[in-house]
Amino acid sequence: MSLTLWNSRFSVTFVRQYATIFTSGSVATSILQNKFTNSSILSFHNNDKPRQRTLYTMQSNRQGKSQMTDTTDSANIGGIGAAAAAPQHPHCDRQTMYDHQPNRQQSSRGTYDYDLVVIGGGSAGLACAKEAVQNGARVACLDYVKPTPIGTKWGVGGTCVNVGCIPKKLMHQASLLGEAVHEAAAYGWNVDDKIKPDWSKLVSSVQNHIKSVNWVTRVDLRDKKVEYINGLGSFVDRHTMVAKLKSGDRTITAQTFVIAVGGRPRYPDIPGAVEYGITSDDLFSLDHEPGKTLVVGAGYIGLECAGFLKGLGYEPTVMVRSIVLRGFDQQMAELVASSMDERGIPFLRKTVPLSVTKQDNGKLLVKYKNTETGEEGEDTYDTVLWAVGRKGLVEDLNLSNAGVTTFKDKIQVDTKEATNVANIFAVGDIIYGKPELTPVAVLAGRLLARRLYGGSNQRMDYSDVATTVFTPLEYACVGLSEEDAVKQHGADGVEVFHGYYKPTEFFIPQKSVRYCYLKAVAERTGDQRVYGLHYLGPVAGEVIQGFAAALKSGLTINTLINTVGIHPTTAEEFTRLSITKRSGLDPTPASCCS
Amino acid sequence: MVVTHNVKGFEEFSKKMEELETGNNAVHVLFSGGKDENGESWCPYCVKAEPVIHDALKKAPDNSHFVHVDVGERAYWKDLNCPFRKDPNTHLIFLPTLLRWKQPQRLDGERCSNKDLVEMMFEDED
Repeated sequence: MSLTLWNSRFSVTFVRQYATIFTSGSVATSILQNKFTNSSILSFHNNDKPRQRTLYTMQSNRQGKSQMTDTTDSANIGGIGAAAAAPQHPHCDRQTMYDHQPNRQQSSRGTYDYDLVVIGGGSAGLACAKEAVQNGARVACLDYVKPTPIGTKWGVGGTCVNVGCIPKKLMHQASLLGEAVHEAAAYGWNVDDKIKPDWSKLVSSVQNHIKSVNWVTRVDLRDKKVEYINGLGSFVDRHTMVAKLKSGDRTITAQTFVIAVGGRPRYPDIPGAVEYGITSDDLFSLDHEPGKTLVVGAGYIGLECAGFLKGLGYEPTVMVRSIVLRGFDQQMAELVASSMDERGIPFLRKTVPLSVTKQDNGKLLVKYKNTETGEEGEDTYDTVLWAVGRKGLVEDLNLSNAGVTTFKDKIQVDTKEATNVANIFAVGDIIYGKPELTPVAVLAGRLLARRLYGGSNQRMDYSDVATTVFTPLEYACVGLSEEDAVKQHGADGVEVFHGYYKPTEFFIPQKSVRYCYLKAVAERTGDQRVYGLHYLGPVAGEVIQGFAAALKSGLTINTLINTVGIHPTTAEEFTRLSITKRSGLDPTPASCCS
Repeated sequence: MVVTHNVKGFEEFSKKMEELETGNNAVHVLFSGGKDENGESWCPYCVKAEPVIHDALKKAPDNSHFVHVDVGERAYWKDLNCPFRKDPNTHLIFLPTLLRWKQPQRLDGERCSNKDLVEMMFEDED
């Protein structure tokens, strides 16, 4: 009985995980067989057999390798996939990852300076460069940061480490701690209720942390023998690049290039935008308190910045052109906005900025217009923060010299991250139409290097990637939004289980539970497979991460509600989802707690 | 020329740092295990690192300082309340540790005997 259950669950998992990665059914079958082979060998570990397994893997690597180097036509994906040997799940087999012999591209030796040049030392580029070296390639990694209009610049590591996830999460934490101090009084701590943040102390703590990460990154590159070149690269032809260094120009040739240059914030095309506005590139190292701030843009970056600025005691206002959190589930997005509004962050809806001018008193006068009523308005601010989107950094690359075509300001790639030019690939935020997230970039970069130099043919699976918006009340999700589920499966094919909940810790300090809400978007009939999970509440990222693995493994509503919760937590609310939207029943909990 | 200083114990170390940090030149500090009467350290990685670091010192900028700190005996270091562990500026976890005073550059353990990394540390301009 249990075996049957395991089998059926396994096959669901299997189809879900690999259908998008491998285009060929025959490859899928051989992986399945390999998985069994692998596990049966693993059970012999005590009998001194692992060596044999390593040898076997090396052989299959070589096979895969010869298939790949013979093929230069990046469009011929199905062919490669079908013919190559199946991979041995390198992500859970460190032996395979690091112990096999270098698998160099023999043809390139002597002709080019490097086997691989990675352009961009961010999450994608560093992961790709390091993995390529581990697999025997000779690699250089270029990184260069153009200063912002107000002169902010930073070190190696890319957006996430320097001006993205890391400083954002630290400032979010600073803001949550302030909130916690206020709650502490209700829990019996004698605290001075006039606590004040010290912006310059916060900035210097955050920047010190970033600088040590920059240092550790440089050490890691040196240790792993990736040549780090602090220069701005542009193509001369498809195998040649000129890097502008402090010391002058340097010409670099390579068999293969990986473009991982990422993106930077956009500025709106209005008077005063560049002169007086700043972006998230500047905020985390700003040398003065931001004060009363206009945040223009209601994507996740705008909302997160407004959220922590409010928590730190500044007065942010969010200006929204059309919708909040485009691309996210819109019911959840509106709840996020309402939860921020409840905390005293005003939203200027359907409004676009017209101009920014600096007044004699140093304040910034922003004129704006309501796009629906045409009504114009103005207000003064200490800081104007543009969070109106990000653009890919294709401009300086001279891609036309290499023949690489761009799409808008991004690069389109196939399922193997190949551009239209056979020896040039792209990963990370620069590629078109994929989630702009560090863990996506890291895994895609690593898998690309393994395919190029490690004989692997495993592809990046960009579906069902979990993510979190670190607003004061956090929002995390994985899988489909309700709208997308309805679009794909029809309104009659989708069941939404939802509920409001009351975190135990919220009662004593009497925190608002009005927006603590979660839902599971699922298949309406049959197994009721879960298409998407959405959670608004404390520590959302920590709550959703594990459920993301469950969803990728083919989670069903039945499994979810038969999972015993951990009490008292907020994550357990997912196991208590019983009310469907279709039933029309009240999703608010009747009493305080079980 | 790099100016070399040798200090022993936390008090001497603190006093020396107070004196040196008023200047504008980089200060590199090596923390290693104390030596017995034969000049042998109880800490094997410190023994391994010392010649590599002293050799690489020629790469350090002119007029920069190098402070060799004898942390003390093994039992003193192994105490989790050892002041070298507790001080927010040193916050030592491993011996040896080589760092640039009040800057992000830091190497510890086996990495202190990696010539390439030690040279990088002394030459680093960021």
